[in-house]
Amino acid sequence: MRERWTWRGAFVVAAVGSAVGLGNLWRFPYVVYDSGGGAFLIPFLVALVTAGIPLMMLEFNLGRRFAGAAPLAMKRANPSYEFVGWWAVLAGFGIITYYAAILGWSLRYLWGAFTLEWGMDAETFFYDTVLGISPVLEAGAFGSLFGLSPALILGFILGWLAIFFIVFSGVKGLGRVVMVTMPLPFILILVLMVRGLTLPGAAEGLNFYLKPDFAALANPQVWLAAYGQVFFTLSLAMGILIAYASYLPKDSDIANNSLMTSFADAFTAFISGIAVFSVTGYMAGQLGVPVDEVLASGVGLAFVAYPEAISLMPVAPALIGIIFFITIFTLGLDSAFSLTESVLSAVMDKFNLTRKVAAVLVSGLAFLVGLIFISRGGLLWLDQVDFFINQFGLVLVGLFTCLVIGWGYGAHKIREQINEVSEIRIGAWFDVCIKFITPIVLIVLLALNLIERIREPYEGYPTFMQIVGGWGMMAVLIILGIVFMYIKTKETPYEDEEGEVE
Amino acid sequence: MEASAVISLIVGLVIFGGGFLWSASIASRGKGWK
Repeated sequence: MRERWTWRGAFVVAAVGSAVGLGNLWRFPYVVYDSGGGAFLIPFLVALVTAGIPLMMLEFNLGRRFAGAAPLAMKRANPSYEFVGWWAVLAGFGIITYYAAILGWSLRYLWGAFTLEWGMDAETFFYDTVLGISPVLEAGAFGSLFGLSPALILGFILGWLAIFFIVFSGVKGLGRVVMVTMPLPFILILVLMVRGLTLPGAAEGLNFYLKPDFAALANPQVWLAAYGQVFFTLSLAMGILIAYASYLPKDSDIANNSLMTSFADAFTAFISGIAVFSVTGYMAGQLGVPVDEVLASGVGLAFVAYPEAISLMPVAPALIGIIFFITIFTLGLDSAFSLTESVLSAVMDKFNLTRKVAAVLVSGLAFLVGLIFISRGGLLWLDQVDFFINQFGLVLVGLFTCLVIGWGYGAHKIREQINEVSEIRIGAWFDVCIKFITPIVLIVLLALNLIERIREPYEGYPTFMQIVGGWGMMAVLIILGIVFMYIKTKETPYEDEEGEVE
Repeated sequence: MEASAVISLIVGLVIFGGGFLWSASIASRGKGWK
């Protein structure tokens, strides 16, 4: 008997928790600023409605209808589709291996926040004290690459222990944990937003974030950025949504649950931008420089720019630092255990393992692989692997999902199944989105990235990194997905569309 | 803060926040949260 969520709210909160991740805080605000400010809301909303929400509905429905994690759900739709599910799960596995390293960084910063250990030079603190990467960069070689950074080992282990015990506790336990790990970062972002808005210079920062530049809408790159942001922010193509929905009862709503999840994610990203840019405006004012000079995104925002801004704060900066890094930790933790659950449930389905055994195997393997990301050169590996998994792995999975399900299985059949159980009926626009709009956008994204990477290696990293953490890794992912498909194991019976047990 | 940025701020809050509240209210009236 498959495990079940205890109530609908637990599923929605878990899905929102998975979707709301670090990208909402450190990617979305910068993309908005860089792609037309307030005007970007138009392409973002269009992309959300024409690609994000339809793909989320599709994934939720696959999990609910076929009661399996991504590979099993795909297999039950059609046995020859199973490899797409494995690609999603393997891409998700790759992401977990480095997410725990980021959890380690945030725990190290949380410890440092009590004394504002980074002072006004968070860059040196991050690269020297936390990562210990400077000797690697200075040597221009990778001799000390595999020496572990002592500052990160404890945080990495603690991060993994948290992930392990959460997935180990099962779906019911997961449902209880997300009631804390999803609302907590949201509330803390609200606190950071209010703190940011009450600082001098906040208005100047928000002008940079939201002042619309409607001319940007004529630039196709802005529209691609919107589709890219929507695709990466909703936890699509990693098997998470399929695995989570597989624990739903058969008559569970799909359309409205997708809407709630998508809008909650977008709203959190939007207010995160207010928290980030108000503080950036304050920092620029204190340093007497233009806002765009102190702007940052990604790792540079969370671990360098924002901590430095915290050091400049007039009242209780240590408290703000503690709040900020608890936010980073909980944002990352939600995403990390949802990814682990996706892999775990796929392994349980395929090899008939108990949850406990699968949790030990998956967490143990991901822990060992992840050690490379807390090595002294771990940041470089993380950057390389993250780029390839996101820009090639996930886009490829999303594209193949649209092709095999939209064109092979039939988008209209998925739509009918969704309408049978949903509070909101969806029309034929869903078929157009799944069969045409989303795959076309993903093909363009994939092609542009391929051309760019063929022209020059990502970030100029050495060839062996490009192979091991890039092209080679992608080849292994593709081949392993097909190999797993051909491994025959005993499958749990399930009811087909006519209600007969197969 | 410039007027156009304020309008963008309000639009963003209304669309995303309103979108969530609207769908959550449908859930409450429809199948409920159980």
